[in-house]
Formats: sequence, structure tokens, C-alpha cells
Amino acid sequence: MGEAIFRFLFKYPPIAFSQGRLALASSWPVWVLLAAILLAAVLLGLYLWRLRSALPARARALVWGLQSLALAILLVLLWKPSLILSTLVPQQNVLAVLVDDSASMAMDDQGIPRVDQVKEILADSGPLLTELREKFQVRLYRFDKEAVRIDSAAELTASGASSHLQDSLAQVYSELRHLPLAGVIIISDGAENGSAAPRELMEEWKARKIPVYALGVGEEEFDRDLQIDEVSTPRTALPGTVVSFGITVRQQGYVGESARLEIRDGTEVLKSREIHFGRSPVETVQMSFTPKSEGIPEYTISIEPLAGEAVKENNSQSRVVEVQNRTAKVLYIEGEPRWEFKFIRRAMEEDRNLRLVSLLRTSQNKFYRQGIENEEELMDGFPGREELFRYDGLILGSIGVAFFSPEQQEDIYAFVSQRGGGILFLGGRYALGDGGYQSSSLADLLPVQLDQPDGSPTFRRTPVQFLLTPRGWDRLQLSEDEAANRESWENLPLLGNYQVTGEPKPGAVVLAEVVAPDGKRHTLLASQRFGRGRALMFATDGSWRWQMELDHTDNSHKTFWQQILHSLVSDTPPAVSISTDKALYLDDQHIRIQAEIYDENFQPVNAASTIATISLPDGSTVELPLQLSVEEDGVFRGEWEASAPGVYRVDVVARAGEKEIGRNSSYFQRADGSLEFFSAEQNVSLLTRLAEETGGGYYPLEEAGRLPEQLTYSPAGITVPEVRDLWDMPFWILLLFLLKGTEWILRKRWRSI
Amino acid sequence: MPWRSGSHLYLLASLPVMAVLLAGAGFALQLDLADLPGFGKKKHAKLRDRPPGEYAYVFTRLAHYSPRGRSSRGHTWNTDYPKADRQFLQGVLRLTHIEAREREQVLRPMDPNLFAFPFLYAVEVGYMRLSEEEAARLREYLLRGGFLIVDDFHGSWEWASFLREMQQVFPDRPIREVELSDPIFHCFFDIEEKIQIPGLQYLYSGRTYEQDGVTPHYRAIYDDNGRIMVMINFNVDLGDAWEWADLPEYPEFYTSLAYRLGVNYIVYSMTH
Repeated sequence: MGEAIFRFLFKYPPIAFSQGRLALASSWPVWVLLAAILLAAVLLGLYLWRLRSALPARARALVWGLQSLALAILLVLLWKPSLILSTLVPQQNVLAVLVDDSASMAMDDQGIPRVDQVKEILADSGPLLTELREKFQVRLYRFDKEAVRIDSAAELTASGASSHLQDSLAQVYSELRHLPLAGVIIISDGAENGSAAPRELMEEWKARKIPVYALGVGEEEFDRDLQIDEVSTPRTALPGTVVSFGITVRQQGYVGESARLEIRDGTEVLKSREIHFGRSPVETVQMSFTPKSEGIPEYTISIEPLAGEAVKENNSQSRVVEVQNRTAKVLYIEGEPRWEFKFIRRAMEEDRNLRLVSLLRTSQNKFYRQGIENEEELMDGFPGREELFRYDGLILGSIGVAFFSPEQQEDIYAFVSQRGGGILFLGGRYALGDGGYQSSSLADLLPVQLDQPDGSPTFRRTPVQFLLTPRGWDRLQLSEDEAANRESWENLPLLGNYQVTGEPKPGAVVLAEVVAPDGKRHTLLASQRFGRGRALMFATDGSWRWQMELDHTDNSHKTFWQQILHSLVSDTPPAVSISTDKALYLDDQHIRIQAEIYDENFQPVNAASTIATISLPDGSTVELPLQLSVEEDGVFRGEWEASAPGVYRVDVVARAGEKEIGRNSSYFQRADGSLEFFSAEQNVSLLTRLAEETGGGYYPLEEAGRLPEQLTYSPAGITVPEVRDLWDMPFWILLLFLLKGTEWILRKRWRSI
Repeated sequence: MPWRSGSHLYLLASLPVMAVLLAGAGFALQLDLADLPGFGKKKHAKLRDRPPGEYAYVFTRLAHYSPRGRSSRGHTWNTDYPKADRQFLQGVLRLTHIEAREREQVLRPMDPNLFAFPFLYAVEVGYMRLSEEEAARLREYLLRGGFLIVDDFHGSWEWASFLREMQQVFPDRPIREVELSDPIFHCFFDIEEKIQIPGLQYLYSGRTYEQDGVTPHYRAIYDDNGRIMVMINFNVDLGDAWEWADLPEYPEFYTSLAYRLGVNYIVYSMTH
């Protein structure tokens, strides 16, 4: 609308003025014009002054002003104001039209599939293409994950598995960069799932001033839709461990409503939960369950579709978690006999996947070993570095830091940061602040600050209530059933004591707190990542009361301790490990494999031959030697293309000469076809950004008819300069009428001159 | 003037002095005279103890019910109490790192605080009578992880009586002899022989046994994981050996053994 008025007044569209240059086309010099205007103004002024009219000076000045302005305009018009433009030479320039042909284009918008809308606009005999062909050599492409030249829009099928918009743009540009490319039209819904275009290409593009015009297809926003955006899961778990999925759900148009979220293993529903939608478009929930089967079970996370949903295919995703049947070894150093020690041992007694080896100092010079495999284990007390690194986790009880020699303290530090083990600090009268840890390097490991003591002991023997924080509710559970879980936590007896530490460190996760009798809150259970490993703190030694004060059939104490110790060692890396850059490859075939090879002292090994064997879903295998990475020690990499969907297994064997250093295995998952349905609403911002950065414009598909004209003003390609007259703009006439009209009205009012 | 104003001053000056003297006397009386050298016989050393909840370990004696009557005189729960307990605890504190309270405590089976103390000691269990309620409570206590030592009962009559009461607690669990290889005999000290530790009567009779309990038996009731829940010292008397540790006539050999067994029991109860 505004443009129409502009064109009426100024003859040409705004783009012409922005691209072009204003100039005076007359051959007479500009200074003559300026002199003439000045002369006219002076003469007029003299005349009016001489007139000796009855009007006050101000009124006469006003009249003088209006009349000089009118004269000036007339003079300017004599000098032929013009607009100098570069216009494209017809048929000399190439125009590329890229059409999105991915599966998201098959979606209906108000009953008509997007691709059909496009075909109509781009029909060979249609007005758009005819007009464009008059001025340009038009090349038509369709793109999904790459661009392919087509002859006519009828060839569009909307069946591509992914939309790599920027990649395709880059591909077309590199094809046409030596031709006079006047511009590019992209017709897409913008729903892109590829990577961004390389920066150098975009810079070159912008330097050549090639405009990209984007025609947006599809609804800009779905009215109502639910989508599972992301599911974050651990890659591996020990049997019997609680696995926690973090599920992010995006909703549009369902504020205030609720839907049912389910996790399934095959057809069996493992966990389900109602999720309520508030004002925020994104909600994240944690759902935990214990995997029953071993191996690599595939779990489906889905949300029940609600009425009126635009797209139902984005309501579910699948994930795989490897349940490893390995036995983790945890070393527990305890400084004095106490009940907490006994009941922790009892809680872990029946766990087949975790062996608790303990070294208890029963008196000044006596140590009692339990859980050892043979007589030699821990024979010399606290193990040296090599033996220590064979454990997956370490628990320090009520034992002061002075018990450990400086080398042993260094070994413990390296155990966590270098070897990737887990360490758990318990509370006790010789532990944490009361054990002197604040002045040792081990204080770095703790997830809380250890405040300098003011002399009073930090170990407080007052019964307190164990309080889970919101993060704790997500990560720990005493029962699979939500109601039973809540009840179990609430029925827990008081803890016998607690230990005062300091503030949690920035990266720490606080899972539980206690409230002291004076009302102050203290961190009780916290964890943090450290180096390759992790550190936990449980600042009490009174959790054994949960076992003694609840019925002997109640498993709360046992479940709690199993979860804590499993979380301590679940992520501890073995000496040889292998992983892929993603666990799930959606419509993406490129697999990046990385293996980390360490020897038994957890030193990285570079001189190893590392071979990965990939087992495909159909049972066949492929061998892939991995290459040593130059940037990092002990890291070997390889790349592979996986086409068929399914679950793949990757086994790695590392050898130094004839000797085998170690082996391990991992898995990844390939899935196809569904990526297009996620975030399928039109991505206006992406398209607009592309257009604006290059000097083009974004138009919805209906306004495609404006394109040909816009394109003629493109600064790229082969152009000729054109001079267009501006003196016959209706604007001038209107302006003159305005000036003279105002003067006439004023004179009528004053009845003079 | 009846008297000179100066005399008042002397009277007034003497008041604070008297007050100080009185206070000092009162303060002196506050002190436990037993602590001052030469003042009275040291019956029991002053114990610097706090409430039981503030210790890692408290020696808890079970105050079980015994029927009244002449036959059970001298055979009650408080046999050897409290001297045996105190002296034994001194040994525990000296030999181990256990944070033990110097003073013992006594709890009845139905005491609400029973579950806060996972270690129990009971003597003269040949004369113990448990009600159904008490038996159920004891069963729950032991299954949750509690540990009970029974000591100082002799002869087949007392055994039969004890067996009857224990079968109320654990009808289906057998009582077995403890092998010398069991961890309970090796968790702190190594016990290589099962010796009969006699009571004080040994000094008069010359026999280490009482009634017809000639052979010492170290027996136990195990849980489903092979851990001892009830340690049964039959035809031996550890309590007396602890109590008479300071008597020169009582052989040191038996005392040492009793201490070693007792400490092993405590360490076992805190590690299994």
C-alpha cells in the first residue's frame, strides 16, 4: 500500500531510489542554478519590500519565503533532476531459482500441500516464470540435502529426507560463480536441518552484492502442536542403576492443558507421567526408571497427541542405553569403626555389579580388610597409584587427610582428574572440615567450599531431617512408582548427625540439604564433575538409622546407597574406550568415531594399532583402522558412512605389537525420515536473515509477483546505467500547488498584496 | 554519740571478706572430693560422659525380665553390672579406635530407643523370659542389622530354657557352632582356641565349669547372608573375667582372652 503511494508520487519504487543515485542531468553547471535561485530570491525580496504594504514584516517575510521556494523549485526542474540506475541487460544474466524439495514441503497448509502451491506459482506458463524469462536466463534447481538442476517445477516431489538449505545455496553458488549471476530466489519453508554455510562463501557473496530473494512457504506458526524437542540420556548404565531421561517438550497453543508422556521398551510402558503446560513454550521433565533388560535396549519416548495438533510425527523419539554387565570396584577407606560403615557394607552386599573393598583402621596400627579378592589385595595398606587406578571409585570415611602421605594425596587427586574415577567424601568426626582437608589439594575435589574452622568442630551430633532439593528429586528415587517414591522419602527417619561445610561450588549439583536447629540450611549431598571424573559429598554418618528405624523389609537405605555408589562409578571410563560423536544420527550418515587408549597406569598410549569393527544391523561387519589424532595424546579417530537405519555396534581393539592393550565396545543408532517433522513450521527468521544479509528481500509466496521488478534493480550481474527523469514526478506539481495554494489563502485572509 | 563511726567501717569491711570465704568453701564443696588427692576412697572414677547419642558406640545391656523367686536369685540381668561393663569399656578404648562411651547404658526390650543402639549384651539368659511382644521386637531388631551377645549361662537346664525363648524370636533358624575360621574370631585379634573362661567361682572350686556345663560352646544364629546376629557364649563367663580383671587372684590369661573376645565381638558387629 505504502509502496503504491510512493510510486504514484515519485514515479519509481523505493528500491530504485535506494539502489540508484540522484543527479542533475542538465549540462549547465550547478553553480549557475544556485546563483539563479539566489538572484530570484533577492529580486523578489526587493520587490516586496518596496511594495510598502500594510502587512507586518513577519507576514511579508512569510510570503517572500513561499514565493522564493516556488521559484526555486521551478528553477531546479529546469536543470532536469534524474535518477541514475544500473539495470540489468535482459537475457544477459542468470537467475537461479532454488526450490525446497524435502519432506516438510509435503505438509498441508490449509488443505493444500506446500509443494503444490509452489508448482502453481512456478508453472511454466505462469506469469512469474514468463516475466522472469524475459529478463533473465532462469535456472531451476530443487534441493533437499543437495541441489539438483531440474527443467520444470513439475518435477518436484517433496520427498527429500532433510533440508540442507545453506549447503545447497553454497553448492549452487560454486557452480555459477563464474557466470553473471544476478540473483537467487529461494522458495522454502526454511525448516533447515543442515549446517550453516561456510563464512568465506557468504562474504564473497556479499561482496558481489548478489541478492537472495526468499519466498516463504508454509504457515509461519502452527496453531497447535506438541513436539519432543530433545531427550538427554546417559550412554551406559550398570544393571540395577536408575537411569534418568531429561525430556524437553515444546508446546504451541496448549497453555493450561496437560498431556501424557510415556517411556516404552517395545510395547511395555515403563514409566508415564502427566505433564502440565504453563505459559512457557518449553518444559523439561526428568523421568527415571530402572532398565530391566541387559544389552542395548531401545526406548521410545512419546507424548500422546492432543486434539487439533498440526503435526503428530514429532511426538515421539527413540533412544538407546547400553546396560553393561560389568562389575565396578570401589575402595572404601575408613578411619574408625562406626555403624555407618557397617550398614553401607550391608547395603551393597547383594549388588552383583559393584564390589565394595574396604580398609578399616580398627586401631592405631591395625587395619581390617573386607571385600578383597585375594590375600595380596591391599596388603600394604592404602594402594599405590597403579593399584589405585584399577578401582572405579573411592570412598573416604572418617579419616583425616594427615593419614595420607603427600604422594598418596597426589595419587587420589590424579585418580579423579586423570583416571576419571569417582570419589565420595563422607561426614564424620575426622572427616571434611574436622579432618584438615581444607588445607590439602583434595579440597579442590570437594563440591563445596570448606570454610576455615573457627575452632569449633564442624561435625554436629544433632538429629536432622534429610531434605531433597528439586535436583535431588530428579536424580534419586526410592521407588519406581511416583506415589510410593514420595511416601518413601517422607517416611525416612531423621539422620543422626550432619557436618557443616561451606557454600556449594559453581559447578556443583546439590541433591539434598539439612536444616540445623538454628534454622540455617546446610548442604548435605552434592556432586560435581572434576577433570575426567566426579566427586560426591555426603556430610553425615547417621544414615544407618534409616535401616535400623524402618522395618527390615523396607529397602530405602539399601536403594539409596546403591544409587549413590552406582552414580559414583557409572561414568568412570575404562582404560580403553570408544565413542561416536552422537548416540543418535537422525537423517545423517556421517559417523565420527573416537577411541581413547590408556595403559594400566592411565597414561595415554600413542604407539598402538587401533582397529574398530563396526557391526551393522543386518549382521555384517566392517573393519576400520583408526588414526592417531595429532592434537591429543592417546586419541584415535576414524570416520564412516552409515546408511541403513538401526542400531550399530562398534568394537575397538588396541594393540601394541603383539600384546593387546585392551578392548571395548559402544553403539550408535541411525534413524531416518522423521527429522523433517521436527520444527517444521516456516522458519521466517532464517529466510529473512539470509535475504537481508545479501541485500535481497523476504516475501511470502503469495507476493511472488513482485519479484521480477525487484530483480531488475539488482546491482549484480551485467548491468547498464540508465538515466531516468524525475522532473515529471507528480510530487513536484503537488508541492507547487501546496506552496502557491498556501500563499493564496494567506493573501485572501490578509486582503492585501 | 553511743559509738564511734569508725567501728561501723570494720563491720562493713568484714562482710565481703566473709562472703568470699563462704563462696570459696561452697566452691570447694562442689568439687568431687574423690578427685582431690587423699580425700576419700576412689569408688568409681569420675566419668566425663555425654548423652549416649553423641557417641559412635555405646555398650548397651539388655534388661530382660527374669521371674521372681528364690531360684532365680543372683541370676538376673544386672549380674556383674556395672563393674564388668566399665572395665571392659576401658579395654575397648585402650585397644581400639572406637569412639566408645565410658559409661554403659541399660535398655529394656520395649524401650523406644532400642533401635538407635545396634549392639546389645545380655547375661544370665538361662533365666530370661521374653513376652511375645518382646520376642517380635527382638526379631525385628536383629533382622534390621542389630547384634546381640549372650553370656554367662551354664548347664543343660539353662540351655533348654534359653533355647525355648530364642525359638520365640527365630523359630526357623538353627543355632550353630561357630567355626574357628569364622571372621568373628579374626576381625581384630586372632582367636586360635576355644577356651572355657570361668566365672569367679573358679577361685573357690578350682573348676572352670558350673553345673553340668563342662564343655564351652561358642554358638551363633546366622542371617540369610551368613552374618552372625546372635553370638552365644555358653558355659563361659566373659562378664566375670571383665569384672575381676583387677583382682590379682583371677588369672590374667582368662581376662586377656575375655577382653580379646569382647573386642572382636564389637568390631564384628560394626563391620558385618
